[in-house]
Amino acid sequence: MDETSLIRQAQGGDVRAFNVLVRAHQSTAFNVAYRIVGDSDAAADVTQDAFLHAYKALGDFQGGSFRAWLMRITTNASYDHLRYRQRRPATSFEEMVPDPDMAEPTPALTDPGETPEDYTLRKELGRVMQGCIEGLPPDQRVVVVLSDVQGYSYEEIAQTTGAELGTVKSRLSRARARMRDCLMAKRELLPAAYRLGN
Amino acid sequence: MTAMYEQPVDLTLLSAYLDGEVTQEERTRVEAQLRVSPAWREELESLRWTVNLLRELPDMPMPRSFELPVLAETAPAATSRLGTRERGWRLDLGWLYGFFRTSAAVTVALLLAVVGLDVWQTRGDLAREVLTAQSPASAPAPQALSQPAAGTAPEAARNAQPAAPTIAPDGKALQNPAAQATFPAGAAAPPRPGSGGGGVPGGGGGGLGGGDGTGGVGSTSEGGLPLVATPAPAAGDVQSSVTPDTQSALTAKAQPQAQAQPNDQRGTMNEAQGAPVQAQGRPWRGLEFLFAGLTIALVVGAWAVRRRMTKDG
Repeated sequence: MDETSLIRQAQGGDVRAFNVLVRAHQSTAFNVAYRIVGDSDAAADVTQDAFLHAYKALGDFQGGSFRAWLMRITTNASYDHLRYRQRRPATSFEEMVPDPDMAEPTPALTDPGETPEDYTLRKELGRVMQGCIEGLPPDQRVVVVLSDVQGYSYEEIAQTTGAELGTVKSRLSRARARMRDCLMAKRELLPAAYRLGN
Repeated sequence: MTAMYEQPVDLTLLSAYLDGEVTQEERTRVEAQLRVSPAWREELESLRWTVNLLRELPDMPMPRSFELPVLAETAPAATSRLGTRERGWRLDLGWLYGFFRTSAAVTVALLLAVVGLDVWQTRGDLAREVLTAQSPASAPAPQALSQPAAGTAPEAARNAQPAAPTIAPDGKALQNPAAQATFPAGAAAPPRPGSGGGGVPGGGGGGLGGGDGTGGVGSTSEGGLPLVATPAPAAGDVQSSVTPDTQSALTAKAQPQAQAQPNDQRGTMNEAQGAPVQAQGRPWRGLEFLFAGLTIALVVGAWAVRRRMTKDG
């Protein structure tokens, strides 16, 4: 069944049809939320809230890119969480005393032939890069995650964020420059294979 | 020669060039700079390295599935009704936003109109007050007549018309006392009480006597014509030209002076009451507050609806 039919059924109240859409987009939504809020539990809450909100707001979907419409709800929910966290900067006990058994989720093994060393290097790279991403302002963070991490086009990013195309280009260029400067400053932490010039 | 074509690095253009999001003209410009400028090449290389690293970021595994519970499907009618109602409500957000915006514009226009009317009326009141203050004979004249009379009724009566001597120096009653009062030839007779001050010789300022504090029309205290009481004629000498009727008339002339006082006092009170009466009847203030409050409420409502619309996507 194509996406348009699923959407039409979901708008009629068919939760199963909506869940098909959820299965198709939940990984992207969760990863976008995770890269923006920087925490797995918070990202899960944000993603669940986003899908609940999307189901209730299905009547407002007038066509076009469902993925862009869904990501807009997800990024708005992520912004709300960032603002909420900014107003309540209290640190949880778990954050102060990290429990090794409750570590952040590890990257998925995409290549079965990947050696453990390569897997460790990729995991370390991800940790350093996530730190640099979290140093970006929220609007630049969203754009660089959608563009360079998720592979969205400029048009889709403009639809998702509600910004003009020129604004998307400008934010993306500034985000990339800041990421570059941050990674250059931490290049000793990067695996050798990933350093600039190698 | 090459250096003269080198331009400062345009980071936004380079970043878009990396993604192929440039026009043909922009592409030509970038590639020309890449050929001649090491700075442009270095910048492009560092951007490409950054983007490649970001693309290497792995997807994080989800802690759980985010599918909605199917329990909601057990009451499809309720769900659909809720969904329809919510969808209907949400579809009206755009209409609601337009309503708030239009209503706010209308209330702003009404507020400006009311403020304009208020200002216009205030200016009119001020102009009338200025004109009233500048009027020469209206307010001061009655007050000048009334003020001294209010406090000195007997004095006013005395000054207005000196009572004709009724007792002769020898103690005998004068039959015609008024006639005994003689005036220097050619002098004007004292004016009647209540008359204007124009014909009063030697009176106070304006001929009314109000300025010098002597008060009273026809004051003879300053420069007034002295009344010379001539000796009364003999008892038998009946040359009365003042009959009792005349005397009563002369006495009665002094009374309007005193009787005029309450009226003048009432006039003064009316003058005082006129000011607060004029200050009443200003309904514009209430309307101004009403429209200002409505405008604020409508603007806040439009902002809230707009925020909700943006949040809903």
